[in-house]
Amino acid sequence: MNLFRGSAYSNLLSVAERAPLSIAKTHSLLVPLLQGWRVPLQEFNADELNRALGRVDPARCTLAYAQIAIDCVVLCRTSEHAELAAQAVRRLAGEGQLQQFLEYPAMLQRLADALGRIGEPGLACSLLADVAESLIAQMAADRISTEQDAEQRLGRNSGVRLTPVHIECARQCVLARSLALHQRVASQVLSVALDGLGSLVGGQRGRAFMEYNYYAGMVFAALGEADAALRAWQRVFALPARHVSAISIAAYKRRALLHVARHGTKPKLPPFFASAHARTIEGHAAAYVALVDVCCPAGVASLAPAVAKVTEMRNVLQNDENAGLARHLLHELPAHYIRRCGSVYASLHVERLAELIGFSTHPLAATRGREAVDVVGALVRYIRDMNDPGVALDESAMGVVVRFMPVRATVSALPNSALLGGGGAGAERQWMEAVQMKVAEATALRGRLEELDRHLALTKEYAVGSRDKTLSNSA
Amino acid sequence: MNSDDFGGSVNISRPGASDEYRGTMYAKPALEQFSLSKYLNEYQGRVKIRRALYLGERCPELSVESYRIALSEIKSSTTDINLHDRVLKNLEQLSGPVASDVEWVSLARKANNSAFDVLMAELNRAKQHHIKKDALRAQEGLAHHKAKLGNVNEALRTLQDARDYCSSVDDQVSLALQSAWISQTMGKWLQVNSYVQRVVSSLPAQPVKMAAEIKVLQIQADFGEGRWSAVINNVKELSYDDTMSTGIFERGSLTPQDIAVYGTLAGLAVLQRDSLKQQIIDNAEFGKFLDYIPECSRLLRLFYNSAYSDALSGLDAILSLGVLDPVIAPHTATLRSQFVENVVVLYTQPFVSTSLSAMAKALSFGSTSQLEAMLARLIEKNLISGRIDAVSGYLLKYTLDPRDQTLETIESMYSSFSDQADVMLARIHYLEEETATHKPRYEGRR
Repeated sequence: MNLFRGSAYSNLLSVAERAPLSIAKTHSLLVPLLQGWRVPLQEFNADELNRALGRVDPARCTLAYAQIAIDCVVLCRTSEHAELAAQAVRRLAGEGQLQQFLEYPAMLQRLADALGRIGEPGLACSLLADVAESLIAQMAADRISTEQDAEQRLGRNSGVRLTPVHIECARQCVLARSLALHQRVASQVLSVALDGLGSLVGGQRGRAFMEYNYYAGMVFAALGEADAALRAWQRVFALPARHVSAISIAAYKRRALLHVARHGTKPKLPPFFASAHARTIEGHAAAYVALVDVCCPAGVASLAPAVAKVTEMRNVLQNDENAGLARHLLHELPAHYIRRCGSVYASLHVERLAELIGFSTHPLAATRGREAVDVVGALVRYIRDMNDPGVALDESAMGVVVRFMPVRATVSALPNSALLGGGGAGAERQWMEAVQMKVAEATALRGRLEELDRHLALTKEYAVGSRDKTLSNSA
Repeated sequence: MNSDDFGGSVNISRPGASDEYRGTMYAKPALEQFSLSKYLNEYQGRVKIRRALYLGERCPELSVESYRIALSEIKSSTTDINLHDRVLKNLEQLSGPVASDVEWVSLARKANNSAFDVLMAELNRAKQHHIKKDALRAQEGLAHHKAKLGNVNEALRTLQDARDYCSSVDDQVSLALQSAWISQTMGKWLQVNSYVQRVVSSLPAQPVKMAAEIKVLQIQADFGEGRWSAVINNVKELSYDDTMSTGIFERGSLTPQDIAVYGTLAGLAVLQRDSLKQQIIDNAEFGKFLDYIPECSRLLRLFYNSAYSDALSGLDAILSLGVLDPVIAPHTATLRSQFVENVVVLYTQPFVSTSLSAMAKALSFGSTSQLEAMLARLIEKNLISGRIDAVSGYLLKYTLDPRDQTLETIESMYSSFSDQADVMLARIHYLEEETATHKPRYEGRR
């Protein structure tokens, strides 16, 4: 007897009541139902939906619960509806079982799409983050608990795979423009290293990977974590591709701006990136390429061309929604120009420095009549804000002098010159720590590569022909 | 010579100046001890004419005499009526009406026509009877006739066509050499080098005389192109006796003085003191060329003995006349600036710290700021390992400890490696999943 007869969800609920379903039953009963699913309600019916949600245990039949939750999201029109939908999604996040999603991975895409269209990026991001964190925790726990089966799980590190929820979460986080959400998503979702795409991402998997890293880079950039943002945008160019995509062009533009702001040097594409594609991208981002060339001169140079170029590109930057990054670039650029002077000068008066780098043309210089005193004062304030141990200000009767100190030198490179940070011993310690850290990173990387190599070697085709008895026996 | 003129440019008024002329820093050549006729009489033919015209366009004091010499040479060694008329017109602009030598023009026209007819008849006969040797000779004659008329490109094309009648490698080499010399008369240095390369590739083991001839051609062509290191390499291998025995200086296309000047200037531009001594000053063979121009020997010795101020004066004296030489003139500014850079680098080498004002005075810089700008450039090019203390006015030696340098290099390399490894791992994971024979699944608990 169908207890749910008369309910819009009667078919679904009648299958769900038999949960937990075997894999065979899931595929024979539930999945076909979900594949051809149409929302049975014309509009949001709180009673019907509540009743349906109450009848399904998300832990025992995650897929059915998820579909009903998705319908809540799709149908909601008011804040009360949204509240109910949010509760449903949160319960799904808290109790849903990742294993069940594996039987029908499209459900995660469906959930991500529904939340992506909710129209409130903040709410969508929060809910997606809940689901993503739950999935991440389950994937990671699953990996740890089955370490005994290491042979079958070689090549994995964190155990976490990319899902459509990750991608949509990052995207909604960008749209939400909320610092708190940025911090949460960055620390709980984006910072978790992925072990690959896995089977939960369908369709254009390469595009999914690129989108995820592109949005991740934007989140990190908004938080001021330039290195993490650059790494994420760099990964956009990791995958082999037959064609150039708009994602890679957009990532290239942003990466160019942030790389120059962070390092003061031109960014490079990975060496294995197809040169034909590189040329195409540079063709579409010609203005940015020109800007980077202007902003990264060799040696001591004036800021004027760079400032003029950014001004000239104003419309382009606004159209590409890169005006914020361009402002950040302009703010950081004088620091790099000042440091470049340190490769030629040991010390010079601040007025001379202002003249050399053309600081009067920079927006940070005082604008009232652009008198020399204002420009110099602005430059002094800027150098103080730089907080760079290699660039020191020395105020004396002769005026303000800028001194360039060799950073982290264990032996002074200049005659009769003191070393920074208490002399050579401090620098030695810093170098030792840095080297030890690099050694540790390199060791971890070697471990990952060895695991990956063994995993690849365990594929049947390789193992059968292998002279290694343990490998060939395992085939 | 006032070193405040360093880097400046000065106009020299000249009638009908050629478009390719670039102004140099020298206000006026020192002409007191310069004999135009003696200078030009070292050359003959097209080279003499070209040099005379070049000089005439750039030196108002010597214009009239230059054009007269050019006109005389045109009449004695060419039948180029068009050039004759042009030079005559220039001369008339400067010195008033000049009677045209109608008789010469008429004779030249007749000679041109008859020479052309004779050569064409010879060529046709040779072609008709399939006598390659005669056809080759006729083509060569035709090419030289065209060169005499001033149609240099046509002449080179004719020599190119003559390759069809070559029956041995020697013939081809001969044609290439002739093309090189024709190009040399017009100052087309890239072409000269190209033809010389053809000779070298066709005949790797050239006879001694030919090798010497090629060396001399290459020295001038490399200098004309501004390739100073290539000039030095050829100067090192030059043999005075072999070169003189080729008789190339009797052709009037270039002189031993030219070789001396090219080698000296190129050496001063690129070589350090020790290399200069080894390759130029102590080079006995090249020393014989230097005997033709004692000023060059003196300049080299001054530079080697670190008398930089006097050396700079000497160089300025040579370059002030160099602006009247079509081979040297395009490079005077570059040569001087490279020489000054060389001097500045050498000056700073022995010292841990150097006063900028003292250095500016010793090297005849107009001001300390000019010197500072040059030092900044040289430090950026890594030619000087130092830092400018602009507050106290000193250049300080900057010596990065090798261990610190190594640490920084390693850190930079690792940073680049780490970024690439991150990207490559992502790529490998993706490729492994996309191409693995087993189904790429998330392997969770079942």
